[in-house]
Amino acid sequence: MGYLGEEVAPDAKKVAMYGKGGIGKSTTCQNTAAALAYFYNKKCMIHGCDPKADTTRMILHGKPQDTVMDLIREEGEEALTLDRVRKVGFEGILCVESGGPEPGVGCAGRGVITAVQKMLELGGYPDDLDFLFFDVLGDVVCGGFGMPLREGLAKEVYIVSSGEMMAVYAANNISKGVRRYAERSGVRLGGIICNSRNVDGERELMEEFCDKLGTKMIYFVPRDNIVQKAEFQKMTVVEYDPDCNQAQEYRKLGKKIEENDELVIPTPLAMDELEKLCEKYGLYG
Amino acid sequence: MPFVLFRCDEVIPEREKHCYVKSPGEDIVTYLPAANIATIPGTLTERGCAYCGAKLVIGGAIKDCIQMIHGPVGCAYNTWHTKRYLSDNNDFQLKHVCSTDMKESHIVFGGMDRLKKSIKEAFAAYPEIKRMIVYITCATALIGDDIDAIAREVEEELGDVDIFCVKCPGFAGVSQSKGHHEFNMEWMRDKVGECEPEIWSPYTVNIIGEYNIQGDGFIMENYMKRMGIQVIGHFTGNGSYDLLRGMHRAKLNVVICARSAGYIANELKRRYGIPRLDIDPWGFDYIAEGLRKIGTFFGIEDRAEKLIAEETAKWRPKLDWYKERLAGKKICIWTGGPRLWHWVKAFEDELGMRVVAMSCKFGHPDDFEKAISRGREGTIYIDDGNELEFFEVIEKVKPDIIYTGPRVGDLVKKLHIPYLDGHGEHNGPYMGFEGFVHMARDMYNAIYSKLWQLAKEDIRRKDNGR
Repeated sequence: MGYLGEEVAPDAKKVAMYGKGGIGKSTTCQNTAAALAYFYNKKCMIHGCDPKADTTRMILHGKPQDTVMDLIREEGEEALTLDRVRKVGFEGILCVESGGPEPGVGCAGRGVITAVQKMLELGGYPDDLDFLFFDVLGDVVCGGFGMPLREGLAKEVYIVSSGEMMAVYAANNISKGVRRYAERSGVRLGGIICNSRNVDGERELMEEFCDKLGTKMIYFVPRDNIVQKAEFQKMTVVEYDPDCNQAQEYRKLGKKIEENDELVIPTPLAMDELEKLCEKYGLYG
Repeated sequence: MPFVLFRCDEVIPEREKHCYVKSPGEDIVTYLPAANIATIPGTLTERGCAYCGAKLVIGGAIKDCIQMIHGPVGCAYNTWHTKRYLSDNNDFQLKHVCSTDMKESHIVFGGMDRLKKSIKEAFAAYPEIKRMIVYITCATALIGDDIDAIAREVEEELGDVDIFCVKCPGFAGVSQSKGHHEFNMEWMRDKVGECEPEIWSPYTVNIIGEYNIQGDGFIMENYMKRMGIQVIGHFTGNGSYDLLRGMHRAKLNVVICARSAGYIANELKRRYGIPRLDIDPWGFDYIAEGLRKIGTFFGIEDRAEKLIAEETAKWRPKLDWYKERLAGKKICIWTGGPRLWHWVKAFEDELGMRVVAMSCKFGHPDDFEKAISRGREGTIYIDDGNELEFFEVIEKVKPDIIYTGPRVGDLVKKLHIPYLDGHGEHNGPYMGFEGFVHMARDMYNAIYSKLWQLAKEDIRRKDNGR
């Protein structure tokens, strides 16, 4: 719900991306948004909810930007305007970063809550969006990182995972968070995006895991070094080389998300069940 | 009679085990109200938070240090200057309190830089003060601010200051009692043994659990002085930060409030072998007994007797005058915890009053053991009492006067029942011989005040000349 109770961007697909740290959430999120904007002319926005504030750098070409929390800290709430914190990047994609504390101090979770509330107060999510992405740090570690799931802000969650044990653990944990919020806010799990690490049995493991979770693997993104090459140039692959195969993979992923209507309340696995699953596919971390 | 369920508690029957009326033949083995457990949901508790227990009750009375509250600004104001604990340094600690005034962005980015800045600003603002207590609060505890690290940094930078950190957020316990406990243990662990006090008497004591409310502690210190006894640590009324770091040098711990400070007395006994002697300082009989015990401990019984004789001669006639006028009056004691059992027999035996109801906010089972043992049959005993229960009690026992706090006090005033501040001690001091006369005087003035008759008149019903 928006600041005054109305739904923000009512026609948009509102998506929150979660997943284990370092799994490729930001890469997936930015490339998918770039593909949707470039290939399908969709109006996209990314709200980065990671205190590192690096979730929109490829869209903005590394352009440093004021984060919501930095601006509040340095200049006070009255200095906060949309112009200063919401930047336009590749293909008109709107980018906002919550920002937050250095590692080890303060409360990053509270920062997410404050930043999202401020954006709502400012009317920072336009009505005519087609896609609104929340790119959220790691696991749903505390209430703050669940903020985009609260009050029906994000309607569907995609978990980025690989076939590695810790990533699967994290995905299972995130599913618990989604289930917790599902009743209250109506958020649903849209599926798992497998960001491949090229480990053995990855696809099979993920498929069985998704099956047990009651969801599906919405896309298997193959590993391709061109992603890193583009990233080095502070670009998404879609911008760096729209004709390359990997750009097409992200286009297909975007299309899948757009068309996805299998939104579920997940059924997270018990710990021993999860361990057995990992053992079955020979994964020990 | 077993436990009683008040009418107002019918929807929260769990309250029954907190409310008891003593009947003939019953003792504390038969029935003891549940105490020091989490508040029953639905009851309008009067309890404070654990941080409040540490700051308002214990730390705030220490006279020569800056009080720095690391939290949102309300945590400072709401635990400031309502306690009326005086000091002999112009009441520095009553007049000044500092807050880091945490706001949203400090919570998000961490409050440690702000704390450091605040500490340095405070020391600069009060250059004559070189000691400080820093309290963590709910908000700063949750975000994990390391107040100890900042305190050590500032100590190193400034060189001549000492900072004590209290890490007891509001949510740390079921009531303020947990805050008392934490402060005791942290002071013992971090500060006792750091200073060597100058000793001028072979007879040395710590006065523990006495907060100099309205000057109570001045009376106790005067008695000690007249017996030739040196008070090293006064924990914490009119207490000096550095002398309290030297508590380990006393030969005897005289404990007054066992609930809020018995912990440090026990620790001093355990670690330094200093014996603990509990006394009741309210009422002539009790204070005389207490002074005799202290005199006996040091083998200076004659000094105690001399003091008791002087004080009794001076104050007994006054007390007798009030006693004639207070005898038979019904009184309720609704305070924090131990004052129930400190006061009940003094009121009954020495003033001939009847204590008809007692309630405490944060007492433990042992407080009820003492209160019920000392209290009379037919009296109502309540743990964590609430306003609705109090109204029912008033209806039932029709008290002439109530000793309680300002919040309940303002409510009972509307029923035209005189109330006296049982925490802040109205026109105290209340301790010792003269203190008990003050107490009797306050009760007399309250009960016999014409105000209560006048207040009952509804002036809207008069013609007023029309």
